[in-house]
Amino acid sequence: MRTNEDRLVKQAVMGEVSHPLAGTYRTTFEGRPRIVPGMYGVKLNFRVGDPAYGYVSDHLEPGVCIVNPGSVRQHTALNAFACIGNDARVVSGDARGAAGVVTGKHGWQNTFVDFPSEVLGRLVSGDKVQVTGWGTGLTVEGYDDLRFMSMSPRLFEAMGVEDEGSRLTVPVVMEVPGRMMGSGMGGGTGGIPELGDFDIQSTCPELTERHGFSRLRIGDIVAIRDILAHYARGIRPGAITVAVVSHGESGSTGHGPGCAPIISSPPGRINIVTGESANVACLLGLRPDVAW
Amino acid sequence: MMKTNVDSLVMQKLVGEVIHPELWVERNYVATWDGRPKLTVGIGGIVYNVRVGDPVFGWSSDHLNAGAAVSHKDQSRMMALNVFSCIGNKARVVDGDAKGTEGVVVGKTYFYPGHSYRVIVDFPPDGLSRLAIGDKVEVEAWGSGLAIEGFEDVRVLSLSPRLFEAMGVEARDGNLRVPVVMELPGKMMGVGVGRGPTEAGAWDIQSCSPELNEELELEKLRFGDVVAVRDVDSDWGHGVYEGGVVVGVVSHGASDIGGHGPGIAVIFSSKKGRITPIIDEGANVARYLGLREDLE
Repeated sequence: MRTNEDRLVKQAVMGEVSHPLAGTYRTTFEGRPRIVPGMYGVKLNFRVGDPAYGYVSDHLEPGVCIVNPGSVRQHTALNAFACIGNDARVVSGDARGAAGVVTGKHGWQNTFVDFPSEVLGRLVSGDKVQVTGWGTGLTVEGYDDLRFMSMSPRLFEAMGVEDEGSRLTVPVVMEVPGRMMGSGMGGGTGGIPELGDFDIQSTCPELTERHGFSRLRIGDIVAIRDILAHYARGIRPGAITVAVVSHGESGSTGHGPGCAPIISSPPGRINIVTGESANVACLLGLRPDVAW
Repeated sequence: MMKTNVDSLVMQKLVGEVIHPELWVERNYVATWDGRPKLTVGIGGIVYNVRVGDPVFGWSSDHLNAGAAVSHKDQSRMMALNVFSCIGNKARVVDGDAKGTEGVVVGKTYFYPGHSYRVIVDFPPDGLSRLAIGDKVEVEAWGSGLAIEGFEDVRVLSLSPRLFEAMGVEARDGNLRVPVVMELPGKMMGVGVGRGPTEAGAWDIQSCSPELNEELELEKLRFGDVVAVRDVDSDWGHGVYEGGVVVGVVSHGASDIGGHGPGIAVIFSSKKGRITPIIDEGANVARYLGLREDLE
């Protein structure tokens, strides 16, 4: 398959290792006040490839969450231009020089970088992490009506997408009906789907069970039916949005495992095939310790 | 007559000011679902020629609010104003040329870019024409905490006792029978999902798919219409819930932005589906409260 990757600019975007936040309780869908860890900071025992459900947490983010502490336009630049599969490097502190990989996005500023476990222990809140942003504007020859976003050429190649003539065949872990999509619908202020993610709602236990969502892992690639994410994410019968599970489940109504879109397709242009190994950690060789 | 806890509800004064219109995207166009640049006229401020009772589609606009949008510059007070104001509450202009003009709270909206919540107030045309941006408007807030005897598991939100009474809700077979202009499937609900408290702002019915708009006859919707949505709940946040029913009041206009559309301010939520929607074309706040004698 031919892409325009030799025309794509590689640029440095910078973030800092964030610190967790707490303020008040979050009210669960059952009306229970709860305070649990989840967003921001460094997780020592939770990485891409681990289960998206089952931890005592809310919106649990894998590995390291970096944010740009500058203006809105600067922090959205990090989030928009960092692509899943991009190289990252620690440029200050005890872990200086350590190499990592971008694995997901959340909200409009949280960007996730996976580092080997021994590096995670040496990272401190405030350490600077630089990402080689490469992938924004990716196109595939013959598929100009599809939008590719937050997708590094490296991830695209590793995914094993095949050209069937008029359709792309995309391997994913599972399909998700569009009606399950919650927080993040419509996207951020400018409706830029490169920013952050939107959630597979985990707050109706019967539906979670029926669709088998609890077997999802962080890094899984999923196909969301009837959602178009060319611009702001929204309902569109027949459209498919392919996305990477970026953070874990939630107890807050309308929230759940967040998915960062990587491909948005109008109706009739994508075939879905399912397989367990359609996970960023597996495809990029980040978790040799996990069975795929 | 249904029994409520109306006698134990506090009545308190809130104040805000008529806010200036804003662009959806600062210094830029918004991108529609199909990639067209668009200007968003009618978000905030005073809208003269669209009132509660008028159609939400068909205007050269996006997220249009009818009448006057009232908010507060301080975030904490803005939330109090929005959460405690109930649809059907009395409002009054307290300064400027329109001082003394009385209005009614007819909706709530949320302006995504600035995370700003607005109360929508309907004023008679002669009062509206004297109103200025920046004028102070007070709301006689009454309704927070409203509960219906025998239906304590049904959340009642942003609903004034006055509007509740006018709606003619009845109890039958363990359910509340609520008149609505239409019933919608939960898959249509967009921006607002995941947001709380559910007393604040509106939850959008997605109008970004023209085929679905036609199939569901969304274009019949008017400002102030009461609608029911299936398989969702808004108890402590808006989201999908099998068997749940939510009822809301249409508070702002249609949108061409993906995931957005006419927003409803939620007035009832039942996870257990203890609400039976009864289709009634006249289920509109303007009719219930006698605000539009010029309409049929």
